[in-house]
Amino acid sequence: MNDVKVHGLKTFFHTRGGVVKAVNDINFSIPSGEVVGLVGESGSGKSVTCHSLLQLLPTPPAKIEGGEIIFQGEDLLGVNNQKMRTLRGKSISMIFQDPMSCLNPYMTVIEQVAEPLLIHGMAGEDKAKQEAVDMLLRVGVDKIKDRVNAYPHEFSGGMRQRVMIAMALITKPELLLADEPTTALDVTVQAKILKLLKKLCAEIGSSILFVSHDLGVVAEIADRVVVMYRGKVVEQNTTRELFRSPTHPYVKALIACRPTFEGNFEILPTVEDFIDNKPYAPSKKKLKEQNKPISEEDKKWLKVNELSVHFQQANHDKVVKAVDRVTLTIPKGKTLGIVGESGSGKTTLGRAILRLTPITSGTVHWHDQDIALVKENGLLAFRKKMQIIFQDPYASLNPRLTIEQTLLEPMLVHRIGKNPKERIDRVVSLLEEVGLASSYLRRYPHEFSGGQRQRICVARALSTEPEFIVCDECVSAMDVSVQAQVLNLLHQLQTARNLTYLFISHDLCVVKHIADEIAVMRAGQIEEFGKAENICLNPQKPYTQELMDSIPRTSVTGTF
Amino acid sequence: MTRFAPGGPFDSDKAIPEEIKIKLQSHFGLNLPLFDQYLLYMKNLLAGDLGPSFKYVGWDVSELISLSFPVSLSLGISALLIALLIGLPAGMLAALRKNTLWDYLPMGIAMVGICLPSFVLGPVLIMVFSTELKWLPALGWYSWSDLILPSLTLGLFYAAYVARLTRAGMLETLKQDYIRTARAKGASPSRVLLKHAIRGGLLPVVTYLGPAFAGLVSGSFIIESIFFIPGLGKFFVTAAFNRDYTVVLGTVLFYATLIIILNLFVDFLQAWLDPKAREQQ
Repeated sequence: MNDVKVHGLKTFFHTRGGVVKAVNDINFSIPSGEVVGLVGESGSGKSVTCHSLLQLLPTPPAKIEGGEIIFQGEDLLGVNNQKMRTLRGKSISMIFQDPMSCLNPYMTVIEQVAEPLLIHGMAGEDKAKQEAVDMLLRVGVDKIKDRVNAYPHEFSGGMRQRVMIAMALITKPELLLADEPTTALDVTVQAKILKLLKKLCAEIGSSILFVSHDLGVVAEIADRVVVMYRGKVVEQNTTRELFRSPTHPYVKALIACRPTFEGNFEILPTVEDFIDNKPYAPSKKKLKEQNKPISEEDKKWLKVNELSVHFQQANHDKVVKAVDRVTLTIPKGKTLGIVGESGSGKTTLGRAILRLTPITSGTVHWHDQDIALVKENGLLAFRKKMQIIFQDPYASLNPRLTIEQTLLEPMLVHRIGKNPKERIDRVVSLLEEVGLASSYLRRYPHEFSGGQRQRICVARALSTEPEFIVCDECVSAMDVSVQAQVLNLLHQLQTARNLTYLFISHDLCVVKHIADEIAVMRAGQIEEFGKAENICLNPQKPYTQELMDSIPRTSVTGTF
Repeated sequence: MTRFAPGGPFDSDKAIPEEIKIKLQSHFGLNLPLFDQYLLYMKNLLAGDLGPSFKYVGWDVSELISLSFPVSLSLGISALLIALLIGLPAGMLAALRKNTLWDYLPMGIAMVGICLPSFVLGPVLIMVFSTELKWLPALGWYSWSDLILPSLTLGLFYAAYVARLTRAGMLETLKQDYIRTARAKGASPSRVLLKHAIRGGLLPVVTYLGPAFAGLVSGSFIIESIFFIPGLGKFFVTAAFNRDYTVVLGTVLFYATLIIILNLFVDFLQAWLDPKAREQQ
C-alpha cells in the first residue's frame, strides 16, 4: 500500500542559543486515503514535522538530523533536490495557515492555481487555466466566473483558503499536508472548509496530514490522531479511541482543559494538574448556580441604549455601520459575553462603551451618567473605573518598559497611592494576585511567555481598581492549557473583587464557560440576547443555530 | 533667493562705466521694484517665456535649456542604464547567496561606491582609462566615446544604491509566506525568483528610480565640470555664480517640473506592478 511512514524523524534548529530539538525521534504513519490529525500546542513541533515532510524548512538553521520518511516506497530524506521538486506540488501538496499571506499578491488567482500544472508539465498554458477555473468552481469560488483577472486581495479569508485548496488539489496529489488550514477563519467558514476538504480528498483519493492545535477540529475531520508534546509523539490512536480513553496525562489534560458546551466547571483543569500526576478531582460546582440575589438597581448597572458607531470610509461615500443601534444591559458583578464572527462589530462595541472610539449616536448609562456625553477632560475619571484587556499580550505591552513601570504608570496617571513605596507595594500585591512572583518586577515583557504576559495585562487593568473590564478576545491567541489558566484567573478575580466583565470572543465554548448572559452579534446588530445556557442549548434565531452547529463535534458533546 | 545674494549680474572684476550698467539694468527691467519684476516675470512665464539671459548676450533661457538639457539627459540615461545593469544583478545575487562571499563582495563594493565621491572617482577613472591605458578620451563632448567615463562615474554611485535596495527588497520578499507556497508547488529556484519574488522585490527600487533619475539628470554638475561637458548642471551653477537671475529661476522651474513628471511616471509604474496600489487609485 501507499502508506506514508515516518520513522525516527529528528529535525533540530541550530540557533545561537544552542540546539533546539523541535522534532525529536518521532514515528507515525499515514494510511493511504485516511485523514491523520497531528495535534499539539504551540512549540510542540507539529508544524516542523509537516514542513520536514516536504523539506521546506529554511536550512540553516533547521536541519533534519536523522530518520526516514517513506513515501511510495522511497525515503524522501535520501532523494536529491531535483527529485524532491518533482514531488512537491504534484504528489505531495500543502495548504498553509494564513491564506492572507500565503498567496502571491502580484499574481492573479487563476495564474496561481494553474501554476502547479505548468510546473510539472501536466498541461499547457490554456488547458491549465481552464482546469484552474474548473477547480476553483469546484471549491466554491463562484466569483471567478465574472472576475477572471482577480487578485487575492479581492477575496475574503475564507475564499482565499478555498483558492489554496484548489491550488493544492489541482494536481490530484497522493498526500495533502494541511498546516492549521482553518485557524485563521471564522467558525462557520471553518465548518464549510473542513467539509469541503474532506469531500474533495475522498473524491481524489488523497490522504491528509491535518495539523492543528484544536482538538475539536481534528476530531471533526481525522480518522487517526497523533498528539505531539515538546517534539515527541506522546500518543497516537484512532480518533474515537483517543477521545474515549486517552492514556497519556498530557492528552488527558488537553481534552479536559478545553471549555466544553456540556461541562460547567467553575475552575477549568490545567495541564499542570495532569502532568504533575496530582489526583485530579474536577470541581463539580457549577458556575451558574451561585446566583446571589441582585438588586433591581444592580441589574441595570450598565445600560447601553441604541448605540451606533458609524465609520466614513475613505475614498468612498459609503458609511460602514460597525455598530448599529445596539441595546443591552449588564448587571453588576456579572459577565456579558459578546459572540460574533470577524467584522460583526463586537470589538467596536466594546471600545465604544469605553469611549475609545467615537460614538455616533445612542447612550451608555453608568452610575447615573451618560458616558457618550462626557467631555474629553472628564473621561479620565471613567477610565479609572473601566479598563480593557486586549487580545495580543505581545503587542499590547510596551517592550521598553519593565513590568514595574508598566504597572506603575496607570497609578501615576490616576494619582493612586500616596507615595512611591505604597505604589510599589500595590504593584507587588497585584502581581501576586495574578499569580506572578514579585521577583519579576524588573523584567521586560519579552522575558515572559504568552500566558504570563496576559496575566501582566490583567494586573495592569486591575491597577486602577476598576469596576468594569472589557476583555477583547483576551484568550483567543492562547493554547488551550494557558487559556484555561487565564480563564480561571479572570473568574477568581471576579469573585474576589465583584468585577463586571464584557467578554468579547469568537469562541462560543469559551464564552459559554465564562459568561452569564450572551449577546450574539452580526453585522453590527444584536442577533440574539439571553442567558448563556439558553443561547447555547436552545438558540432561537437561524444564525445562532448555524453558529452552534459549526462548533466542532467534541466540544458540543464533551466526549464521544 | 538669489536676489538677496550680494552683487548683481553686471558686477565683475573689470569696472564697467556706471552709465552702461544703468542702461543694462533698465534694458532688463532690473531698475523696477522687485514686486513689479516678479509680476512681469510671471506674466511672461504664463506665455511660456523664461526671459533672456543676463550674461549670455542675446540668448533666451529656454534656448539655453533646450541646448544643454539633451546633453545632461543623455548622460543621465546612460548613467541610469549602468546603474540598473550593474545594480540589479548584483543585488539579486547578494540576496540569493545571502551571507556568502557572493553577498559580501558586491555589497562591500557597493558600500565603497556610496562612500566614494564622484570628484574622486572621476579623476581616478580618467587616470586609468585615458592617461594610462589611452582607451577613452579624458575630457570634452565631441563623440559618443566621451559619454562613457562620465556616465560610469555618475552611474556607479547609483548602481551601488540600486544594488543595496535590490538586495534588501529581495530578501524581504523571499521571506514572505507566498514564496514558501511557491516552493511547495515544486517551483524551481529560478522560477521562484523570476515569477514570484521579482515584482515585490523590485518595488522599492522602482520607488527610488524617480528621484534617482531626477538626481542623475540634474545633479551632474560635478561630473560636468570634471569632464568639461556643456550640460544643464554646469549652466545652472555658473548662472548662480554670475547672478544670472533668469537662468537660475528658469532652471529651477525646469527641474521642478521634471521631478514632478518623473514621480508621476513612477507612480504609474508602481500601479502597474502592484495590483493593490492599482485598486487604491
